[in-house]
Amino acid sequence: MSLEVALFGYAGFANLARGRGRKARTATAERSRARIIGWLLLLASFLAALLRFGPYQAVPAWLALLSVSGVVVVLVLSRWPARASAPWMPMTAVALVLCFL
Amino acid sequence: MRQSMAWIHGWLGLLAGWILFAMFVTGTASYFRPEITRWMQPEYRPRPVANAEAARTAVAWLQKNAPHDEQWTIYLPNERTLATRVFTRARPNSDPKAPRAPRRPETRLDPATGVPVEGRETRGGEFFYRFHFQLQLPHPWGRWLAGLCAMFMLGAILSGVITHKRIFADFFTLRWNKGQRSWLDAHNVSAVLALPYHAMITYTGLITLVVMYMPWPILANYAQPAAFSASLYADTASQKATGRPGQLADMGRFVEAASAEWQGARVSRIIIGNPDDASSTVTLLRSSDDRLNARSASITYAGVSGARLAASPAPGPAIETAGVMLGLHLGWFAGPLLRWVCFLLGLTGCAMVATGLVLWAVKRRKPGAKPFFGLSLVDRLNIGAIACLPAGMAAFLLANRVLPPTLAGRADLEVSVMFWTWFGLAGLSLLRPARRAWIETLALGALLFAAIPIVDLIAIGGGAFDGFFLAFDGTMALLAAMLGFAAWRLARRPADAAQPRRRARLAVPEVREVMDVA
Repeated sequence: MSLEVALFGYAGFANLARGRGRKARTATAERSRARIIGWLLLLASFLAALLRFGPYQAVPAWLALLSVSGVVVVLVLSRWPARASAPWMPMTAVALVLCFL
Repeated sequence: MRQSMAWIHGWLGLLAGWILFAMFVTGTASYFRPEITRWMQPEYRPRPVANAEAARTAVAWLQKNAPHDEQWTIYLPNERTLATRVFTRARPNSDPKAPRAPRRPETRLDPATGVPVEGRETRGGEFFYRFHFQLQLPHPWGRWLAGLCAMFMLGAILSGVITHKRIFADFFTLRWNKGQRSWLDAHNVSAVLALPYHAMITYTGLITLVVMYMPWPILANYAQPAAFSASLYADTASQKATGRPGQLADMGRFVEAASAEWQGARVSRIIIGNPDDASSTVTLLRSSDDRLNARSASITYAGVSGARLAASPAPGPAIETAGVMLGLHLGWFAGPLLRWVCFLLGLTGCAMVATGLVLWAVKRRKPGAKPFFGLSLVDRLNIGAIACLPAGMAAFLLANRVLPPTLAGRADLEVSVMFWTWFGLAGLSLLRPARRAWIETLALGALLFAAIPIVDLIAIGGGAFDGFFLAFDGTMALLAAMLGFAAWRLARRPADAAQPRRRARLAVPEVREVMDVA
């Protein structure tokens, strides 16, 4: 499976969305941290794609999987804004395990 | 600048939108072209054989049924396409000015026995694939129209990116139940999140047929267009027959030799030129399942002696790029997960076009005012394309199970059922108020998709419990749920624009203001 790319993507986007939260609701430091984690997770998803698909197919595969995880994040966020980013840590853990399978 | 781009974006999207929606929907379905064909021939469950054996049986059938044709093309089976597909081209008219004979229709053969597949006659997934770029119009008009719409789409994508100034700020914004704002959000989200896919699929779609749209560079540099492909792909289509009879060598040997030269890679296609002549050639093409470049390497052998004549030259950067673009568009390189991802992105593209079309109408609808002619026309065309086409596609699949398997001409009948359902439903929807028409056509589409698993179970009985058929029927049930959800959401929504007279009576300033925003 190559699900780890999508899982990292979801976790990354969920953090980036948290990093864009309204100032009144989220502290600035927390938003900055979420943004950094978000970008790092997107980088991890690219590395996972590189590992799984090889250098030749990694970019299209990464972009495709990332787009779908982005759509899922937005759909969940629009319905359950508070809960959308909650599973990012378990998702990252599962993705890490999948990377080594 | 942004205003001009917004104007261009709106009109390019609107004028090509209905055709683009049909192209997106059928193109998305085409990611599963072999699977759709397999589902549509449930009685056909062949025994898998080695490629060399499939090549031998196909050649034996061709030697019996089209021995004197100019060219045979054999698509060998793989794990997705279970049958061997063969096409032949008749010898040209002796008149040198006569056009090249067209390719004869496809015949599907059992790889083990080499006899035509004993299954119900159907066009299967091939129909969606062909419709996607030919639009069921005579050649070359369908391809030209598809190309024109793709050019509009590319223009709409570029102008849309320039127009959308809050592209990053609105990245995660999707607000439900806010009328026009929600449609705009949905259009932005479906467009921006999958922007790399939309740009790629549109541009590569255009490039796929670029030689047809812009033949002049080839005409300016080559006396015969065939010389162009001969020089780039080692194409032997233009090779002349000597007139002396010749017997083809064992086809299995060619397959094994080519596969060994490609370090075990699979042979996907065999093209045999002048098969009954002493100068016959056998060209084998490497499978591109494991690489982005869809234009794979080829090796040509002398058909009679088996001598290796030529191999395709190492592709230059331009040919490699063209091959990769074709590969990206077709998605053959994608394994099961990536194929599903491409399918979902295709659905996102459908959503982008559909929400854009609806947004055009919603933006121009004034609360309390009677819709002008153009708005009503767009509304009706939106219903006809967005809500009725899926119903037509479901009817196509249902017809496959409902029509008697041995009925003569049933393949064309299945296609007719799709168009009658699509256009018939669009015509009937004109008799209903627009809002009711949306709800009813979407609900009918949902019912038709929901009926597919049930009819499948009734028609093929226990065979429907096979993993493949369960997955296919499950997907149909999911599509039914999606259309049903859309119909349910519409039915739940207060009838704002659909009842302008009632709204006009509520001429309280506060209410009008709220409705303007919604």
